[in-house]
Amino acid sequence: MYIYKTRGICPPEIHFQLTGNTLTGVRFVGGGCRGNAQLISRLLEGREIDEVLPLLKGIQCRNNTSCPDQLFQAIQLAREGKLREEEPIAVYEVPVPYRRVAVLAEVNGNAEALRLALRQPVEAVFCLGNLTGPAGDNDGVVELARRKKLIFVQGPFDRTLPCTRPENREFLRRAPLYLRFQLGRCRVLGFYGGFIQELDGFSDYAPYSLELLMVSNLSDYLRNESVYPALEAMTGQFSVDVVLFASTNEWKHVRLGKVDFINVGPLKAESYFKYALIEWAGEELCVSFEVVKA
Amino acid sequence: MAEAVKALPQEIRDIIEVHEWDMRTREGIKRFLELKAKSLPSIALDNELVFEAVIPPQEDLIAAIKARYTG
Repeated sequence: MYIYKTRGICPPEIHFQLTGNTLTGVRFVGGGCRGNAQLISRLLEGREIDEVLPLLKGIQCRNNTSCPDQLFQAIQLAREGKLREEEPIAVYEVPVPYRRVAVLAEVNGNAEALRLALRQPVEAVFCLGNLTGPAGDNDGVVELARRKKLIFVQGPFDRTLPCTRPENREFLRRAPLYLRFQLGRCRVLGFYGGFIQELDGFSDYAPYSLELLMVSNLSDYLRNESVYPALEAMTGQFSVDVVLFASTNEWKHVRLGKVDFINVGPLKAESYFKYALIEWAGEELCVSFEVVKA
Repeated sequence: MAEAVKALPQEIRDIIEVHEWDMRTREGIKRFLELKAKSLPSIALDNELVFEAVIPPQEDLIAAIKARYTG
């Protein structure tokens, strides 16, 4: 994916993909005429760039340029190798809807703790990152996760602490950064935390960036309660109903506006295991933090 | 909120510089926290938060600007 910082037009960025000479996924983001921008994107989807470049070039709107003209310049830079292609921030959308799931985080290479968590009476177990840890049995935990087809997102340790076996390293490398699933009528988003914004390919305007930035940058993972009014106001622009995250080693559930924010702490603490049980029951979302004795 | 500022009379617009921050961006959030704002929308004048969680009536906004104008 290419991210082009525009000049002189309303949208601050244009996102697009080039596969050979074929243009796909054009998005003008962060401002401007949404309807016109969507129409342009649809008209350009899958077209050959040699065919579309003459149509885009030189159109004037303001500041001696326009959205199409900026896209022309972006494509030219990409073709010349002067615009770096970024790896998109990977999202895994779980195809099956659920009613009762367990969510855990910070396994930190503790295969025994993960084994116990996987035995809980739920339809699925999701891990919000740091499956691995500095002093953990990382190959053991990753092999268990692979065997049990655990759905998890990367935490910072999973990107920096390699396993010994190449297939385990590859498993970690291919893990997504965002998780999306449906729980009853709730659209649920899960991620580890703010480290995602340090990665190449992150854009403030990409899908789910708003939810991530509101949690990590605005509210400091819900610790800054003084900004809750602003956070609540911003939930009106969210694309999900539930936001799950880790990152702080704390457990917290707060409802602001129509959005439930759930901070999931570490799986293992001293003599017990802990996870978030999230259930759609009686037409409402039920959240509890479950403790299992070691 | 930006519309309220854009609707100011020209003689007021001539004596101010307007910056708008987008709360969806890292830069916007940073500025919001620097101003110690809590709610949206907010207006700061000369780096001081003056209106919060409200779009002020035009006369209030003009009075607040004039109170800070020393030119």
